[in-house]
Amino acid sequence: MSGAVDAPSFAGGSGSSSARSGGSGVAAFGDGVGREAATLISGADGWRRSPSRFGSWRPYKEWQHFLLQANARHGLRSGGEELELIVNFNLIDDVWSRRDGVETARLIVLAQSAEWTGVTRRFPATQVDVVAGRIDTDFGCNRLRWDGRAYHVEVDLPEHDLEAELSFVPQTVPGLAVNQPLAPDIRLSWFFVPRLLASGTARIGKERFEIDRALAYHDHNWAVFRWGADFTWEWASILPDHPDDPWSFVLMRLTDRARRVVRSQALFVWHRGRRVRTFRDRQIEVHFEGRFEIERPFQTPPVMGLLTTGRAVDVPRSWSLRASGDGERVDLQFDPSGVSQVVMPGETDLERVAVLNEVTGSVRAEGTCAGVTIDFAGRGVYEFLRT
Amino acid sequence: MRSHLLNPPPFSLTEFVERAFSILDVELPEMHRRLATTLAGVVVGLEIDGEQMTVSFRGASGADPPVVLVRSGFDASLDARIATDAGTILRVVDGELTLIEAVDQGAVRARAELGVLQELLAGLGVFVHGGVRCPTFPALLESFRSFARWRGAEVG
Repeated sequence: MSGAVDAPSFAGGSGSSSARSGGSGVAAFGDGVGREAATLISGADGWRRSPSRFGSWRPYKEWQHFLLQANARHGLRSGGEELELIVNFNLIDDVWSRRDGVETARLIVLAQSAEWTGVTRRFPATQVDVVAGRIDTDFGCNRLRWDGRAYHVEVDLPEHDLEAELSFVPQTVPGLAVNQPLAPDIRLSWFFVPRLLASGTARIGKERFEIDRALAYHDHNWAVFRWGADFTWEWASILPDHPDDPWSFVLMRLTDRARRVVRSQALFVWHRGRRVRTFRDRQIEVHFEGRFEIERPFQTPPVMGLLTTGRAVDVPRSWSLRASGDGERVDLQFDPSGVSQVVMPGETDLERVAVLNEVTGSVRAEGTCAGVTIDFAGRGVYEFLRT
Repeated sequence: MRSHLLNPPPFSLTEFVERAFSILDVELPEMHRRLATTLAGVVVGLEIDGEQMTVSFRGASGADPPVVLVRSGFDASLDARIATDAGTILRVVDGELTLIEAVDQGAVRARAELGVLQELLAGLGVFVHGGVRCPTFPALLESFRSFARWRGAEVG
């Protein structure tokens, strides 16, 4: 996967010195990284918006995605034993209402504490405020803000028992990958911050959580494509359990729809605040085993359950990855513990659906990169797109 | 969303059913055609909260377009009878209950030859695939939810 850019190499010095904060003992990766990340985010993470606004309709899709993982050992000051929260602001050119010429705004929230819950909520244009080039977003009373140092996300869906007020402070220099080949005639662009620290509060049903510097992930994608076209993707965010552990990984695999051909794949490796290695294509081997048995995964929107088997038939029981090259190696072992599904109407076939399987689980990472040993246990979210 | 498709709002369950097929015909005519073709010739007696209606399907024929007809009351001759209530419909749509669970619990009761039941299940899939793509269906669903609540159904 070519084209991903950020600060080019790992180096010591002001960009990577660590500083420990007081009460929680969480390491920060240096003011240099924070400033550089903030500059890049301010310049590159604004909404692109659809070209259909100028009368050139295409099935454009764009989203801003946030994910946090917290547990009682790290990141959760109060509440349950663990919390995984996904918040996705998306704007799409709806294939089925294209005559209206207005992007459709949806907020997708998925949350797992004892069990998965969530919602897909659509907002009329009158309740949406998004400006091209800016990050700040309003979907009704649900908001995304960037203040030059941190993202702020507000979820206000009391009718669905979902509320949150969170700040996300970048801990790494972001990556930007433009025009990645989903298919021969489809390109996806992607801005991603692999590691942030999230703090704030959340209410999921009757449970209330106080989150204190939980590890989190953010990305922003934009492309013109139809669900059901000849591609699938697999993507993963892998972060350590302990916030002092300096490693962060992001995996991306793009295949044809039948999953016979891997068109491109990459494992991005960050150490402390900077990307130190990208393994690509033939340097990566992925093995999937078995099938993750789950009787009835949480699905959103719920009506789409009428159009699916009600099972996560395409999620493996476990997977492992080896990335190696130039004397460096990363081994990852992922064991799923839960699945939720975002199900969308197919856009190339009126009687098919596209399913995003959001799989959470534990990860074991080992290896050597940039001369430093990798050895940690962590959590991951692995997304399998199936159409 | 084409708000005129919901004006005037449906006043009965029969009108809701009829309006759903009308919206499908306007906003996704291909799925309306597929539905009518899949169930061509089938006459269904549908009873929701005791309100009876007959839904009949006719595929395209020559210059005649495919048709889905909804009439109050039961026809004398039916290929299938299905009975349920508004609360169950909403519980299934909201994912609180699967269709199989609803049948197992007796909240959906269907009587027909096996072949006709299979066709109806296929037709339901076509209808739902169409409905989730129609821009006006979310508003129709919310209108149905309010109507059902007003009628005293146990809804979410």
